[in-house]
Amino acid sequence: MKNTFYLMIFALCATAGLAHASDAVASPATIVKHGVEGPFFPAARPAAPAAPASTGAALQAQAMSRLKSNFDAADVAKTGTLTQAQAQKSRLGYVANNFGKIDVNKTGKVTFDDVKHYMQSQP
Amino acid sequence: MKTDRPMNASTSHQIIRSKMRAAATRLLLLLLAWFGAFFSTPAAAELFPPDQPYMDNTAYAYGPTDGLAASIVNEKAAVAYHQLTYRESGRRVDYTTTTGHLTAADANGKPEASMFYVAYTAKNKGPWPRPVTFFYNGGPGSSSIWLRLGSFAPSRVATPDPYTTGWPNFPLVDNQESLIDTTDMVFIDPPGTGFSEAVLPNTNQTFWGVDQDAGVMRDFILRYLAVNPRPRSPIYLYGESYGTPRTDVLAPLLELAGVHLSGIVLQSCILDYNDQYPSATDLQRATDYTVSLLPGYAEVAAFFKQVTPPPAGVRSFAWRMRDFSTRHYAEFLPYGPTFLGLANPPVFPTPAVYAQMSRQSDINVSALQAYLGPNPLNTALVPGSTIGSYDGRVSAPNGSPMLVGDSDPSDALIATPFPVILNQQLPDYLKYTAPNTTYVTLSDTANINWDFSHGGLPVPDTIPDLLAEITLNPHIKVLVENGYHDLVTPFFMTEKDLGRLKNVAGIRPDIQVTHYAGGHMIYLEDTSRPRMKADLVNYYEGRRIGGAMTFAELPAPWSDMGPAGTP
Repeated sequence: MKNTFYLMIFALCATAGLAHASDAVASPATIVKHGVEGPFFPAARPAAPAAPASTGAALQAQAMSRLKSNFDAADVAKTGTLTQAQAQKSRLGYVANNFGKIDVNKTGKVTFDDVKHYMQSQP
Repeated sequence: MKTDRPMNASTSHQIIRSKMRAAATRLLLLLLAWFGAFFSTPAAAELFPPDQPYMDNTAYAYGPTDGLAASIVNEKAAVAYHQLTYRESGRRVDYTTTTGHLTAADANGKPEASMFYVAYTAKNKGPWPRPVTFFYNGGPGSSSIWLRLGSFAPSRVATPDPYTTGWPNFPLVDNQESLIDTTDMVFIDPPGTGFSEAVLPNTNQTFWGVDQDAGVMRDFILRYLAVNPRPRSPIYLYGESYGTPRTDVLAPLLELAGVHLSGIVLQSCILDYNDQYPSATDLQRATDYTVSLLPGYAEVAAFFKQVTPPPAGVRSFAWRMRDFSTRHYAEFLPYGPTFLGLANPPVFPTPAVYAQMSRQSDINVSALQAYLGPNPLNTALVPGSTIGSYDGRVSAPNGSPMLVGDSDPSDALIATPFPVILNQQLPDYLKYTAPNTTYVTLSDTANINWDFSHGGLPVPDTIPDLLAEITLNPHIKVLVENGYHDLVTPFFMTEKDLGRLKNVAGIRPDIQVTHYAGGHMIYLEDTSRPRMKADLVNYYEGRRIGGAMTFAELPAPWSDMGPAGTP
């Protein structure tokens, strides 16, 4: 009787272990409750498969678009350009501090392409 | 006898000798002074100013809608003075801990969050400016407690990893592998974790997203550097786990804000969430995952003596398993979706397939069955026991108290002891008390409510962000650290992710990839932490790390390996 009881407890513990362990490694389909720092995942998997992981030129284009999104966020008036002051107050010190070198045409405004040319000319 | 010689009978030789002696004495004094400059003398201890304890009465709150009124936010901190003696060299470092809050603010100066940090700083005694390194864990939703109490701060919790003897009572010890002799360290808790809270009208939820989080982390670092100017110091970031995609996104934000970074350390990476959490119909990524985890799992199987013949060493065995996974990719295709729990009905290998895989890999059939069979590998590999995910070598017999309320013994190994030590360390050592709130080691609320979308995808792929950083700063030093036995963020997956950079034209990134016996929290392991320390010192000083995988040695990514990921 006692043995059976212990066996049941053991089975319960083991089952609990199984369920959680499968969350952690085999399928992080639900939020893992126990890990001290995850990594945690959203409740639902992405609905459609992501495009194959980018490499080469496609990856480079994505990197550039990440940078451009910061430029665009600072360009609140959507003029396609930033002044030194705009850059400075938009957490774009990189642009503000190097403004003279980026603004090759000395117009007082720079486009993202100007910034890109400056970046790519760095040794 | 010496007195035989008349006292005044000085010869030219004697004069020269005495002059030489005087010169030698002066040289010795100079050397002593020089050494003194680098290695403080015990007398310095008496010169410490008194500690400045701080009782922070703010009732920080951590829910999604919580935020502090700007009127009660302050930037006070406790300051305490300590010393660490490195036993091997006898060298002593006097250092200061600063524990409190700084207010991250946006570009217009509007407060965003009152962020808790612990800084370990030492006076610069060398000819070059001391680096400062910003540390954070992951989650998302984790505080920085694990790195701060486990890795390279001057004191750490000593665990018996990969064993569990003495759990849950582990001591806080002087850390012989502390980086305090090499860099200042600032440990940051993101909003909603630790003692950090958003400032109204923002709430904690405002910063619970990939981009929002990176933005507020940037603003904290800008604030720290404004309050503690380090114009000539090399600046580094050190992130673990989710801290690695955080770093990839944060680094270019800092660089764009005008903070030039010297290096980033990515420990136990999840650089592309799509690898680990693909769509249910993404069969290729399911297989990619299955074969990417296999080398790390094989190391765990070898630890439990389920590889025949036993491998000569973890390093050479990892190379064989990378090769096996790559060569036999196609043979795993039928089982990938089942491995992720996505196949209905599930597909398992036949005994003949297991036997063939075992012949090819030396992994015992029992271990292959635990990997690809119907039961979770954590309970299937070692009968009667549960093995860890963070560190596959940590095991506990089923029914062990370590498995009560936690299915991962390598998680329990630190999850229980670290907060206990923290509660003693905050008042006793850091001289900081917060009587009206409780430190949040991990916020499940944060990770459940996290906005994972980034760059147009529902879960973040941060390799483009890493490349953006390399584009902004071609000389950035990237160090990637992996634990061979980490079943949560597999080393081979990380190498495959980084391999995506290989055919990008016009870049020559400075990437070094290191591997150690150990799990997700590699530094817990007593044989690996000294190696990590030595490698990090080389890294900080700009030297190549012996045995590190170079950029050229990274494998080609799965996505470049022909149709449907087949080699």
